[in-house]
Amino acid sequence: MDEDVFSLISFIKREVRDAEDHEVGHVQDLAVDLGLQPPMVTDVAVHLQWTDRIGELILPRPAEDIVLLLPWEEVESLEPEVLYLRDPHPLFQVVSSEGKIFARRDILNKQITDEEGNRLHRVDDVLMRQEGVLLFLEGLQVGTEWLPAGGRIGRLVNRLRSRYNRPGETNVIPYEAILRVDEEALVIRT
Amino acid sequence: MLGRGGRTQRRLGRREILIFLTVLGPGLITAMVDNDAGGIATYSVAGARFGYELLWVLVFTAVLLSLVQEMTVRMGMVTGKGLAALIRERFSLRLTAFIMFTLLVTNFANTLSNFAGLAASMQLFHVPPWIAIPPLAVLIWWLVVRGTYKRVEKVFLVASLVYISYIISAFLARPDWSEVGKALVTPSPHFDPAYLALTVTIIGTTIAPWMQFYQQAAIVDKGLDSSKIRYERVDTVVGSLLMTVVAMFIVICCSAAFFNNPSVGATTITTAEQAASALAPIAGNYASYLFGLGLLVASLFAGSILPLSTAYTVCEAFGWESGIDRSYREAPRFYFIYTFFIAGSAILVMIPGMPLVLLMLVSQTMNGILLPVILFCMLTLINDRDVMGSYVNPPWLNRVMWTVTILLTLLTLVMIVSTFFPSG
Repeated sequence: MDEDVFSLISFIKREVRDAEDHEVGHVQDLAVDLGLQPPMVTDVAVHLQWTDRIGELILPRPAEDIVLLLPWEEVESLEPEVLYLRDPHPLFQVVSSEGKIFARRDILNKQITDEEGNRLHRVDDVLMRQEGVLLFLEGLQVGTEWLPAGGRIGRLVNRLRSRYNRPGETNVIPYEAILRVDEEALVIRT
Repeated sequence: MLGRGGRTQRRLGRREILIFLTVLGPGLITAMVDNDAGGIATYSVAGARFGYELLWVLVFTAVLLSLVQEMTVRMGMVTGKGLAALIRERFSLRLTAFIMFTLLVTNFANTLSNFAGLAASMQLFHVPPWIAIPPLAVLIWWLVVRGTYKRVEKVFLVASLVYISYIISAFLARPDWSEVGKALVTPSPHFDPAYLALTVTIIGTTIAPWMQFYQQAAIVDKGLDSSKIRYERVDTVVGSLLMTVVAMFIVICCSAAFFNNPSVGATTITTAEQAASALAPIAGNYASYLFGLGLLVASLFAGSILPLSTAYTVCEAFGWESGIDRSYREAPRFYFIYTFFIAGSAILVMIPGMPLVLLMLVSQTMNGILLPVILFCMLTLINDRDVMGSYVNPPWLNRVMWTVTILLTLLTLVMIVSTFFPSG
């Protein structure tokens, strides 16, 4: 796998530290804008250990184990084990999760179908490409080292990779093939 | 006014009965398939070795089975998804793969035990396995693949009536009904290792992991939603009760015929077909044939449902195309699993000297390992408001189910240790 490409499964639970280098929680999910080419990560859902404010709102008492969605501008840097934020805890900008598509919640493990609704496989992992501090959706992994996809889906992935001129990983559906993410399934162009 | 109200009530009653009849099926069939060859063997052994002493365990198990399957019903009707899909979406590929691998092995061994039951029951009617098994295997395969599932479901529902044969067999064995009544309401637990092992086996045989996957998939397949939840609850509870009643009559029959009977060594009864054969001199040929007929239908029933359920579950977990309405080209893995289970079991059961008892032991152990994992997943899922909305478990049910899950895990560990390290 390319050095700049990493799997969502390995990214989830990555430690999150604030501007003062205090550990504040871990990565819970990533919001992806599929309308962009390539699809870009626009927000990060952070599972905070605690907070007493949500954006401008001051809470009457601290809340523990709370997941907040922070815009990607809050991310200062991405290290192999840690994600650093720009602001000190708890003064983070927050955004609404309404209408957003999340890589873990809405894509990982989801049923993949073709346009006719035929079931092809499930999403075994979501691959991300890092460029500086930005993250982009690279593709959808089907099959793992210990459970290869093979067969029909293997042939389909090869066809898609040659169509979108993407050599390399043979078990990754390129992001260009994603048509839409429905509630029940992720539809790809075959 | 009263008359009009009465008519409205009658119409409502008829309408409700009609809705119930359309919903009826998943709960009843799941419970009936549960009385498979392995189950019949377990209940026969329980009756032969411990008389009526283990009847109370079946009462306890009926309640437990109803509670577990009711959770399955709720999950299927609220989410419209099968259990394998929910586990995959809520947990990880690794856990899903572990569950699916264990389920594959367990269900294959269960299918094999049903084919062994099929062969044995045919032998009771003097038909050797090499004549009986190939056409029956083809019949099972064809019935599901070439018949429509809705038709097959009706065939199975009617076939369930054959379980009445166990009730007749029990009456022919002339039990002491006052003793039966006493044993039902008076639990008599003791810590004899054989008693403990059989208790765990009864619970493990009755609440098998495939049932949760199968019933939820059948509910989703039928397109039942939460508006019909109370009807499906009735279907489930009725199924669990009927299944338990049949199991009780098997225990009663074998207890009356073999327990404390000097002409039959109770420990010589280890399989259902031995019980059926030994019944003839005690309760007459009719009792023996009826017992064998029950075993035949139960084995046929489970021998077709288990491979189908496994194929659906595994395909759903990994997102592969499935369904008997699909062609082999469209759903190759689904057909491969289904055909492999039937063909593999049919071939293995015809090989002389095959260690079927060992395979069944492995299957029971893996069932025991899998059940607490499934219950843990189910309890996590059903308490997730993102998944279940307002249909999460009430606190009392959580307390009961977590206690049962922990208790079952401990009992299973004890059984596994005592099975593989008998002197320990």
